[in-house]
Amino acid sequence: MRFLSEEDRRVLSERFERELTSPVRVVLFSEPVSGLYVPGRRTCVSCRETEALMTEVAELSDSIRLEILNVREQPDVAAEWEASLTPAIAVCGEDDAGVRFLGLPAGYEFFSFVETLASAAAGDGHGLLPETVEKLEALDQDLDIKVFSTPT
Amino acid sequence: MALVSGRVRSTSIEAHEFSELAGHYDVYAVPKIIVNDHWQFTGALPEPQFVDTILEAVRGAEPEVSSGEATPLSGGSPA
Repeated sequence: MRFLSEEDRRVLSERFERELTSPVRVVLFSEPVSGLYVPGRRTCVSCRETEALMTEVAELSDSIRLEILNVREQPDVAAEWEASLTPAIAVCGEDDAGVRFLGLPAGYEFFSFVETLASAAAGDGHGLLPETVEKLEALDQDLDIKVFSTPT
Repeated sequence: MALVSGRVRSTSIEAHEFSELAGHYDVYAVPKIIVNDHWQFTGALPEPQFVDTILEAVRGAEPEVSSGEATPLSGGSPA
């Protein structure tokens, strides 16, 4: 099954061609879904779908570097990225920027995901108002922002 | 915002898939924003108000926007 229609692929390819002027890393923390129920272990609801969707997206641009990590095999790396829940997606330039998506980025979240790819490629706060960038540069404390949403 | 500042981490969470997390943070409506595991507000805001609501909350000032007032999680959250 494909997530993206021909039209989606065309529109996204054009957008990526225009906006992804530098490489973007998409690091997906996933785990194999065996179909076996293991007591006490959370089953990944959408790992398979998220892997498929990310693979489809990555196919659309040479600037997108998709890395898929199995958190069962590489728990140390997952812990380092604070991404032990699956599926988790990190979007960044070369180094971790602290951006995560937990769960399949479907529906409206997919647009946020695409926006984030474009912002990461721009590397200069692309899309944010100048006054926002100014306020962020003046931050004297760490901010951890969690946004809960549902696919609509 | 996280891409611009090394001090900002941003996590977008699918509330259905991570219902335990959503329950932990009293998520009844979306979008729900949690700041530093303490401040919360519900509803999308235009960028300037979004930024100001967050900054004013963590600085301990009363948020000025009426549409998106951030309140402490533990202090009786609005429904």
